[in-house]
Amino acid sequence: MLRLCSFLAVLVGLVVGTAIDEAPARPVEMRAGYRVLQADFHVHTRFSDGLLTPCDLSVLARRRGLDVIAVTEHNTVFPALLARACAKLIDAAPLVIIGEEITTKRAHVLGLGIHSTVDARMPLADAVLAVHRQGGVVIAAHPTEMFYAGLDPICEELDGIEIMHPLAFRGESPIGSYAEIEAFARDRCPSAGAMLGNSDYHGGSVLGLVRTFVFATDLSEPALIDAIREGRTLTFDPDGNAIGPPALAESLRAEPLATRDVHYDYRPLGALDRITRLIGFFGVVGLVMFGLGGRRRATSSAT
Amino acid sequence: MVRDFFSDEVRVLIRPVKGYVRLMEAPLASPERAVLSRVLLLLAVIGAAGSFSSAGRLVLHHMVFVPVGWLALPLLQAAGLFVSLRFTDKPPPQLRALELYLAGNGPFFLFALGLSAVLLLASDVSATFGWLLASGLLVAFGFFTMGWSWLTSYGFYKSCAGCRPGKAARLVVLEWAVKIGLALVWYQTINNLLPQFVGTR
Repeated sequence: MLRLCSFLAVLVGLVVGTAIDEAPARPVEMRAGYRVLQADFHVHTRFSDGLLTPCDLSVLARRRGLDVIAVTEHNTVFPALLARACAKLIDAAPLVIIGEEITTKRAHVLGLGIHSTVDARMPLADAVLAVHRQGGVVIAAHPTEMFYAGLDPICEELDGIEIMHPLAFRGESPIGSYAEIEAFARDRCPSAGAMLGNSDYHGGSVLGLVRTFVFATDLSEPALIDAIREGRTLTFDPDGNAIGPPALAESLRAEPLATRDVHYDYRPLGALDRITRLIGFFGVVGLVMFGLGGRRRATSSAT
Repeated sequence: MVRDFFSDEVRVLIRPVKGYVRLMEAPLASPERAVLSRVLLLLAVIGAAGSFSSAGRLVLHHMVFVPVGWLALPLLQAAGLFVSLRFTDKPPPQLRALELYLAGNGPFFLFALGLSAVLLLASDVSATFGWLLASGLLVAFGFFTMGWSWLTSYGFYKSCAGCRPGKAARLVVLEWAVKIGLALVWYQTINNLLPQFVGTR
């Protein structure tokens, strides 16, 4: 009886949870002659150190009101290819850019808009060249002090910097501090083009918490890569200050984008949501407490 | 006949050695079905935790795909178990051993459900997690989970494979070495290890 109740509770939580799992509208909005797209270009999967599969990411990105994600697994593009294939099966899925976080001891760089894996064992300068040969762009990922020595020699070859990162909210982490990222962009590599903000998503609800506003000609991978190459990107710091070309920032100030109703704080959408998510949770607890099936015959010594 | 009230996972979680003794005493109708139900429970808990952490509620898409991404976990567990069983004197039949061993996943369930409870019940999730991290409680909870899972494995080798305490402890170490070793092989295969920790040419 208790098993049945637990199973039914999970079922109720699942049916209602799936039904009310809404995604915000993503209207087409033009500014400064370009379509403004909201993107997160740094996303990981279960293949290495992320929580979700490539097939989960499109659903989460849609929930977070993103038009574009780049799946950038450490040193392989395979999960990104899988994510793109899955996205084709999901209604209103965001565009998936094929990417890779070329992860080495000396530096981490994002290769975006590529189609095959760039071998991270080659010297970084060669890896950058390999990305460019595939028609992609290279972004310095979270360039904190520990990566300066690796990034300095390729500064001229970078197409952009991940200037905003969840580090900006936390201040510090084992890889360094946000102040070090700012110092890299300001003092060491001021010539690197586009300013990007990415969540470096590994798990939780925070996909798109830090995002990039791309001013592209249309919603396509070539248009996005062109926009990055030409520096037509904006991001915002935690205080809401724009980082990027002043003209683009001004276009958003003059005519702000429609708000996309996105919650990162696990706030219930209403009473029904609050109740059914608890029902679902306690259903799962019940399954653990009472088991999935009565396959073991009890004995008199069993307690 | 006293009917079992709690699941085998809970009984092993609460008393690892004695819990496994009880499970060994109880006859089993179908080991295949038992293994399947244990794996399904593990994947259901993982799917639920993944769904709660990304959507805040149970969502069908995550409940299906998150477990697919974590299928390697029961496979790693089985690999570690079967290697360790080769060094026991009285190993149970393989399927029986697997279903008994998987009954020791209670500590991981506790961890997954504990984190999910914070996500669902805390009034300010971000602040609560910040406090849990800063206070070291989250890390302590992780270590507690790991330590308790070692205890359940120890209980398995002692009660179900007839090992003496010292040998049971050594087999726990061997089992974890196999699991960690296989995980490292995977990460090296997808080129995640050497470039990151040793460097490039």
